[in-house]
Amino acid sequence: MKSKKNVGKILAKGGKWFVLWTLAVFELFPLVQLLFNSFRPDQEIKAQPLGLPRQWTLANYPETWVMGGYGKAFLNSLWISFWTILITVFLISIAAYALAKIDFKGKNFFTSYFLFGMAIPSFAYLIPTYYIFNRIGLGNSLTGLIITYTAHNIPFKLLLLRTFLLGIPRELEESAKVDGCTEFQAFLHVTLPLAKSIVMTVAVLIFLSCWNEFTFASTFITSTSLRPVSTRFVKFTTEYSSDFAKIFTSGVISIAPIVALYLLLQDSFIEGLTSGSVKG
Amino acid sequence: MKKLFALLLAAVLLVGLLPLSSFAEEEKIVITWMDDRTGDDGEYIRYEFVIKPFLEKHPNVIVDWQPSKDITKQVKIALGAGAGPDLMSIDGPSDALELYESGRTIDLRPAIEKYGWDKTIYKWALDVATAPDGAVTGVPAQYEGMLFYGNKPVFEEHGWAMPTNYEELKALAQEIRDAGFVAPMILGTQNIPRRNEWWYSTLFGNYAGREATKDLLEGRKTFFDPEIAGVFTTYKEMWDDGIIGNQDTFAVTLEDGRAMYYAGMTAMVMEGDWFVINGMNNGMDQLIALPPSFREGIPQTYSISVGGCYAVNASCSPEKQELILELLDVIYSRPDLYAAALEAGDQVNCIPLDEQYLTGKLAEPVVEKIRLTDEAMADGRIGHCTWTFFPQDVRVYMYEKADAYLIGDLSLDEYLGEMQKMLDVHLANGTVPPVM
Amino acid sequence: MQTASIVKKEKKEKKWLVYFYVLPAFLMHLLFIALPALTTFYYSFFDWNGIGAKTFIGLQNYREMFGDSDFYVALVNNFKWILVFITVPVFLGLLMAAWVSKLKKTQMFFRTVYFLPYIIAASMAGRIWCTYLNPYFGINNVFKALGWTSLGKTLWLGNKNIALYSVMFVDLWHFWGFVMVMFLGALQQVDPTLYESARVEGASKGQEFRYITVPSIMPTLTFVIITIIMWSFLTFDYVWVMTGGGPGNASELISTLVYRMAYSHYRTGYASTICVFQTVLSVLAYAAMQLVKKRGWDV
Repeated sequence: MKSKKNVGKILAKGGKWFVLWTLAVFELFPLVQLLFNSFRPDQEIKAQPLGLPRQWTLANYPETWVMGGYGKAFLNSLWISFWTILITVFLISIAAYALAKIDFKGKNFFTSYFLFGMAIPSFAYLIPTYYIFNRIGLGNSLTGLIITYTAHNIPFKLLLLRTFLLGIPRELEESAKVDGCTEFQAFLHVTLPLAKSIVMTVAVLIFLSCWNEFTFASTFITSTSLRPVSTRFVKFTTEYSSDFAKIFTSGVISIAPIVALYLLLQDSFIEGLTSGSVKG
Repeated sequence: MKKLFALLLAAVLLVGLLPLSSFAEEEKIVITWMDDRTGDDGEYIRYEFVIKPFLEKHPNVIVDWQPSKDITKQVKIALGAGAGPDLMSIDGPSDALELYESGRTIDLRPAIEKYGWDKTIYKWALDVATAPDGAVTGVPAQYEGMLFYGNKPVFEEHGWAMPTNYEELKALAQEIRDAGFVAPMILGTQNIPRRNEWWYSTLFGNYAGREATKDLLEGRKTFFDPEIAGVFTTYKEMWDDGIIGNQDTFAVTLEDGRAMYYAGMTAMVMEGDWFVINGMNNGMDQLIALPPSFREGIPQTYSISVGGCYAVNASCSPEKQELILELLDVIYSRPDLYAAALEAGDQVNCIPLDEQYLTGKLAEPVVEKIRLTDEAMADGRIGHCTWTFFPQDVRVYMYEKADAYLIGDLSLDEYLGEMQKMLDVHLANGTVPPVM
Repeated sequence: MQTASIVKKEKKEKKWLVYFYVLPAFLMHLLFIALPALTTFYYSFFDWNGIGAKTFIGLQNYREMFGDSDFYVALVNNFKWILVFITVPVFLGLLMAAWVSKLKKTQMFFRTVYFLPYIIAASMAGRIWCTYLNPYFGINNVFKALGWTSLGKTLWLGNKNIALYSVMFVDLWHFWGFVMVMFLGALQQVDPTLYESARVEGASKGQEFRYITVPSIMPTLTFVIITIIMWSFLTFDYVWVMTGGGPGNASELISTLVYRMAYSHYRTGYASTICVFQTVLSVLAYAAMQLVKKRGWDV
């Protein structure tokens, strides 16, 4: 009986690992192909889109970097992401705190408003915002994009943060307030440190959306020198023939910083609340 | 947390190095040019053979060159928001007409006459870019037309020749299949159904023929006349019979379809002029020919279109307009630069290339193609590409519903009927694009 | 006992201060998104090509929309999309989050790997996937080699009965890792002492899951489902890149229809109408969820 149970346990464990790895391979497979293709000459990709490089080349990287103007594009994207993250995180963390923790008149209205905000298709405001920014002198500027991205990121990220903040017991803040903290101090000194990993997750998601956004970036920014990373691969596409080696290379180049950031911050992700920082 | 701060600090430092925006020197005039040339060579060619020679004459001008993918959409959004570039290279005459009729661009006829471009630009191309009120809505840029290409080594190995008529094409297709190829040819339309109109344009030229198509667009024939309906039934027949793919064109992307040709899985392709360069870039030795004649009495025809137009924003000051025209003049009045641009891989403009440049440094396939199409144009063996000559909604419906028609979801009668209904409206309102 | 003192302290703080917490984010969104988006509602009453003069046509666009068979195809496809996306990624994400959160050394590896597809732009991932699903280069060759001829002949993106699901499959590949990360965040918040005390009291794994895990992640689960429903009405990228809505209109979605109307049919007015309806749908979906909530299904 006992051994049977053990066998079952081992099987279950084995099955779990099997699923974990199978999924990992499935998720990675296309991306590995993308990586391989960045090491193949364009001609080879055009004749055989899938497969291992028959002829390895590193030439795609320097060529793509220079031709795509990625040096400048990275700076542009970093500038946009930096400010968007900073402003958005500031705006949404206090708002999410209020919506999660404090009772006030209109709370439901605001929560519903932001949910409604998620439902607005970008098509609906692409042209009007373009018009507005042109009128106020922010057309073809990174500032225009920062404003749009901030506004665009607010609803979902705010509600996400709110959802997580709901999970932090209100008693913690209450007791801080008993100790003489104001509501804002309680937010700053009690809630925020506890929510660190979540705020970080949200920040990474904002970064991701700024870094990858294409429609607004390609519409608002017309000067080549101001274009962010996400729009640069266009350089390698024409109506009739595209340089796929460079397109794939640009794909690798543009996701590299996100992966790097993710790995860099991994400790803080895992830490989170489990690290025992909840002081009852 | 420390790590995060270090990171933020690094970001601040990095970002501090950035100039806030590109600022132009005050006294210089800036011309913004939203352009459709995007590829690797596009920038080089535009700068070297158009912008640089212009700037040498006008040092007080800055050309803010803005290559854009999806140019029509970009231009439309910009103009719709009351902004937009000074000069725009849009997709073709139908877009140019629309912008002009919306009051966003200027009539270029005076400029064309002043600079004498009308003497160089092909008459058919200029006619196509002319609005009903006689205004020229955009200066025709490159022209494009539909051709057949064959894998030369494969053709020579098997002793095949490029087909000159439908019967030969059918026989050749069978031979190619018998020789073990996956399909005789394929045109992938999966992600972009618009590609279907490449085939329709080929067939309007080589099945319906120039006269019948003209009759259709001028209201003397309808889609139901056999010469016109045959365009659609022939396409379906070739598709059903496996001359084009294996009933799977919409499951193959354009690029994957081309990959099959380059990998030797198919032996032929039907594409536009641009495929000459594409083939060269991929080391493919190609046979180039006009598409076969699909109907008794119709010669092998080159279906053509104006593939781009230069339009000028109506909000430009007169002096700026003058500068823009001088910039364009570099394209139309400097055959030496034009030839050099062609050598560098640029598309063929709607102006004839002087014989002296044909024997020079131009690549062999490019010369071969120019000779082939020049000859067809000289003989008047030219046909209509749908995207230049058909009203917008008719052509969009035509290609968008092509899949449904090919699978059998949409009956021929309904397909033709719907297009006729749309065309009738345009005929009644006089909004059919100029016919050649 | 304690509450009394809290009330005393809180009285000192001005209640209206709380609006300064919410208003900045609210105004930012209102000014730069919601109000500009209202113009779309306005345009929906016009016949307009996007650049020229507008002609007021009242409700004609709406009438046309409700008689447009393409619109109904897109609508039905969108609902299919929602059904798949509120089940598969939620289930998979929850299960894997539960497993991954228990891992120690390899946790970050699996987390990163599962999340990676969410990072890559659809324009590139879509192209690779198109080739995998291509009848001549991709998985069909594998199926044929295995002797599964009928599978090997399937046109994954060319068969009108399958195309939509094939794109869904690829979008799931890209999306579920994101859902998992959401759940992981929620799981991390569960107070570990709860599990410890449960174990002391001799609770089974199933009981732990039922009485500790589920209640603690309930808000996240609800939020994820609401989000997916709303996003499903807006989904665009993968369909546009992979099939463009085809073959025919087999994989048409509301967003692709809006895009086609605006940018290939030059009908900004009509596109605006569909866009308005799209927003209304999401709002209705949310309202329906609220109703369910009131009925006592505690989500």
